[in-house]
Amino acid sequence: MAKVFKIALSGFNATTDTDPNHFSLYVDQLVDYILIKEKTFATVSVSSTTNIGHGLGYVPFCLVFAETSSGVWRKLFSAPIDGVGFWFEINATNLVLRNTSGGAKNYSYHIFYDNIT
Amino acid sequence: MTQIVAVAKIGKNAETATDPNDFIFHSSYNTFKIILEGTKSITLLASTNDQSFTQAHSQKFIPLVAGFAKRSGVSQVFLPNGIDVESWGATAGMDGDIKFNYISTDATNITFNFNNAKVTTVDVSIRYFVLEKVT
Repeated sequence: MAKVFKIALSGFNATTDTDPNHFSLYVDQLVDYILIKEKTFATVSVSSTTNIGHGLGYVPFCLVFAETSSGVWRKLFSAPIDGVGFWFEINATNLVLRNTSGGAKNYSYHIFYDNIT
Repeated sequence: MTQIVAVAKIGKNAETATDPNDFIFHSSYNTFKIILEGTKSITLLASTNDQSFTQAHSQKFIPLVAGFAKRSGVSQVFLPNGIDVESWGATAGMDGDIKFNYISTDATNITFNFNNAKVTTVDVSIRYFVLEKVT
């Protein structure tokens, strides 16, 4: 029998409810609902390409945001179709932050332990 | 001695495993939190690019936000920096008239930005997740 560790949100019964959305913490040994275990996060100024070594030896899940104007943070994805702007790439060694906008921008990145390959 | 709460994956030993990927939960690692989840319905103007829609997030900090969009009447969702790919016949091809340009946050609002190349208005629903602090 799988071991469980669950904390239900207010108004839900942790012993009978089966919807993971009704829990602040829903852990069994079967499904990785949590998915993300944070390794590190930081903010760095990026003018062209900045490598952030993660030392994991596999491709980890990452979240990256750029401060496109003062106090405004935009979620980043892979390279734009036109290849211009802000994006990031991940390999087994580095989180690679790219900026081809022509001016330095602040990037906020989160690297997680979770292996996405 | 450091005390932890951990649940290992089936087949892994919670007492001896050292790879974070062997655990479903481990109290030594911050588990990223969803602070708030919501939906927003918008209508895109016809033949108009760079349309922004805002939603107050009511947080005392600038949060990370992730979101997904879905056009009314279809089943697929699409992400920011992506288009709503639409096929219109096995041999006719496909297009992506609606583009979810970006999702961003400031101290007050979440901003969703779209292009709509269609000559008609388009109803879109967005599901967003307000996460932890940006910095």
